[in-house]
Amino acid sequence: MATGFERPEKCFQCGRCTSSCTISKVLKDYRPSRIVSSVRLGLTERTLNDTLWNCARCLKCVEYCPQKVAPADLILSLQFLAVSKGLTFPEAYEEMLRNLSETGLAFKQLSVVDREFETYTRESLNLPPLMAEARRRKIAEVLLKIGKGEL
Amino acid sequence: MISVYWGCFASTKQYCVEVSTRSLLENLGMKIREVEAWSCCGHPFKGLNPKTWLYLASRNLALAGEGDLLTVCNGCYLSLKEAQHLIGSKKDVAEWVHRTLALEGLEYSEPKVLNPIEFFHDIIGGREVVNPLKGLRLGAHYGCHSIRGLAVGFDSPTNPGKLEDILERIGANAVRDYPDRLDCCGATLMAVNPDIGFTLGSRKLMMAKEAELDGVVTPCPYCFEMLDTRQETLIQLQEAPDIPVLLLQQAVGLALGIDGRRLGLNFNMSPVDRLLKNIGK
Repeated sequence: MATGFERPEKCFQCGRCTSSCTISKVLKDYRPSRIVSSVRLGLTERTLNDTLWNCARCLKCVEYCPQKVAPADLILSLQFLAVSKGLTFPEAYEEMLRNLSETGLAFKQLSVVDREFETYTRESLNLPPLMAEARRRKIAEVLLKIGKGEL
Repeated sequence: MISVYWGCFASTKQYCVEVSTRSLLENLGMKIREVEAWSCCGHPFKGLNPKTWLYLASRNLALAGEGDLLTVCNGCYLSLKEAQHLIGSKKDVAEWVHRTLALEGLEYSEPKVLNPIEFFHDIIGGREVVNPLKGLRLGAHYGCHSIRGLAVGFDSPTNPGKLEDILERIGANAVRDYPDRLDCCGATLMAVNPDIGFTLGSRKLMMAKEAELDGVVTPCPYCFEMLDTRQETLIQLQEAPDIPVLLLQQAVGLALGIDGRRLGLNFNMSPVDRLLKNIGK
């Protein structure tokens, strides 16, 4: 369970999720209704592959489902199940996890160039500093415990 | 005093979000309660480990306290709203959150989480618009996570209008419907399948062009990065048209007479000069 909204057992296969899906329009084999149906029929294993990570999280399927199945939320749960079973996940997430344990944020702080080719940082823009080292370490400790399954 | 949750994108690279929000709130006479300890909201990690998400979301809710929490990123907005919903509806989840936050010395609290659209919609009603964005045909790009999902609901998910209301209030000609108005910008796909991300992003710009919009306005830093910062890439790879893109805070700030630099407008990579010229800036 991820967000707790998913209800695959309520699906009656009307296909509105697939017809509203942002990704189904560009990836022919991607069908949220099929993922829901596999889970409903007890064939969850069949869904655990790289396809799951193509969800754009646009939530149109959640909006248009007449049965409040919340396919996008089910897909999040299946992503977690796949990760728990040791299946691979997109590399970009590995980097975000690394950033998270080092900085408490998903991305690294960057210098940014504006339209006039001037370079700016948080400091040069007088933006307040991000969290202090002690706090970062505390968060990393809790995250490590969660990662090890101790929490 | 108001708490503002910035989120990773605004804090680490889309500095125009923080610059424009700070200037706008100051102009509106609102003081920001500074919170140094904000972390990621957890949104990107929901599928990797829901507990990672829940801990990160709930620790930021704890830091916010009980008042209003303006959340200047759609992904963070959805993440915090969903965490509140889950914690409020499942006792075992709430207990886990309390236990886990205690490890960091934090206590869970329930702020009122606000998206920039609902926040500015309700606040600018009585303000004087000194520099109306007259004659500009502007389209709203809401971004998925401000309107859709079972935990949010300040506007209609299938036919929202509050962002257009704001655009009208600041003197623009708000185009209330255009093709694919509520479609996804593709930003999430950049981590997984950039080709699809580019296809979706350029489609948004093509539809804006088809509707003869002078510009697109969005409250979300992710959508902004996709449609503005990456616009040159979309033009090169997908033959997308060039369309000025503004953050909601920048559009409102301009109308209230705030200087472009104080709104971080120098960071927009789309042709915003075209817009500024039209409104005498």
